[in-house]
Amino acid sequence: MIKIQNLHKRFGDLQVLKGIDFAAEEGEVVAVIGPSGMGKSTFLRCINFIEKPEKGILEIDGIKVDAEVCTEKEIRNFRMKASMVFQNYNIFKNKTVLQNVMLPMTSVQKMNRQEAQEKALEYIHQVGLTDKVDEYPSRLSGGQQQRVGIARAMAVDPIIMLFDEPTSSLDPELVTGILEIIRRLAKEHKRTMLIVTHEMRFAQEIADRVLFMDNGVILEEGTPEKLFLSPQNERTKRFLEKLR
Amino acid sequence: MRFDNEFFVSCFPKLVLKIPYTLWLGMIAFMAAFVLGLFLEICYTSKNRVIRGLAGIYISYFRSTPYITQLFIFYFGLPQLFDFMKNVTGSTALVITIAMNSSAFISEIIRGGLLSVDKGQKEAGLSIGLSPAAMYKEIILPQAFVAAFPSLGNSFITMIKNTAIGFTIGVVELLSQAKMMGASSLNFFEAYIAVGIVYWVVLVVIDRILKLMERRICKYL
Repeated sequence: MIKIQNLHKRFGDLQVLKGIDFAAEEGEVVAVIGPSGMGKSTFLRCINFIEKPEKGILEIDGIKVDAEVCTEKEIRNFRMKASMVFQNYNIFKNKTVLQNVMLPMTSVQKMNRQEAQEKALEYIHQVGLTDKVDEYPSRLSGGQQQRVGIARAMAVDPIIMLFDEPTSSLDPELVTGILEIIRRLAKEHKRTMLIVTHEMRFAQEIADRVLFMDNGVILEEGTPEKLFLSPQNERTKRFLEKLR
Repeated sequence: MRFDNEFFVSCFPKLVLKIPYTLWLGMIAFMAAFVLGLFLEICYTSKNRVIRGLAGIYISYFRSTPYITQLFIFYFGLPQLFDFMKNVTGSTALVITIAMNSSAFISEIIRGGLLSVDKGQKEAGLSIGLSPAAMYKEIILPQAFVAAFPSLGNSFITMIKNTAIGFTIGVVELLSQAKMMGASSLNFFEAYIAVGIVYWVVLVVIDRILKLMERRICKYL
């Protein structure tokens, strides 16, 4: 269970998030769509406290944080409940594929090495990179790096997985592979997933619910059918029309 | 013009014997400079304005005065003020001043290395829940070290060469050895050519070793 109330974030004079309320059930897959630069990524980054919001109450799985009054320790505990798949992968350059995926377990969860390695190999298998376990990121293609990114995010064993435009920096022919992996994860319905994406057809297909964000607020939300086929808000309509 | 070949050749065995001493001075100075440089960098990024200011003055002084001036102040100047410094030997003074001088440069190299670590790497570290200590140990320091390694190698080479200035305060290292041999036989030219060749060969070898290390360390780039 994840619940976010009245989330605010600004960069200097620019108010990026203007009071976001959001809740999701366990296992729910939520897609976030909307024009670029309107706060979609920032919304995800705030949930993971990569950006610190000025205001807002965030709760995941019973751990509650008030952005206005929270300690570093609270933030770190909260972070462990979520993990992020980045647009530009951000997998650790100085570590092999296996080490990348093991790190959340050995360093954060203090799991013993053997167990961590077994689990890591399982995650790596799930993203189809078993033959690359000992490679360094520089030897991998973008698509392969993003697979590592997904496996690493799974290794955090989060309640919610945050996908920040996971296919935006990939060559077109590599996109389908990544979407296929996310699709498989979504179908398991084990983890809540929040996916910022520009792949509308993909969003429509896998999401239980779609949010349309514009200008720092959630303007409209609903099931994919409702939002894509009969949007109510003018701006949602215009945005979707432009994409056709 | 005459060139005393026999004397020239006879210089080498004596000079070669001095190589370990010169390397030893350089190595100790480098290790001290690295630790001091790291400490300086920490001071320089401190939240305390006084500490930051002092580190800034230190770095500015050691970067912007000639090394030999720093050595003379330390070895000839300070003992006039502080009695206990009269017991400091030439080689100790040499190592300390080389280390202090280079630490100013090394702290800047370290800063450059730390700044070169991609922001996304830190964000990913935060995202998986690394503690600040783990973040430094697993991600930031290893990547910063790789970025800084070539410059650190250059610093090391500079430091080895700076040991030659030890001859001005009577430290018998490579150059002093050559000077003494030249003076006792009046064959200065031969002695200095010989020592030049010895330095050159030693530093080319060190450079090679550093390049090999670089390739090992940068294997993931």
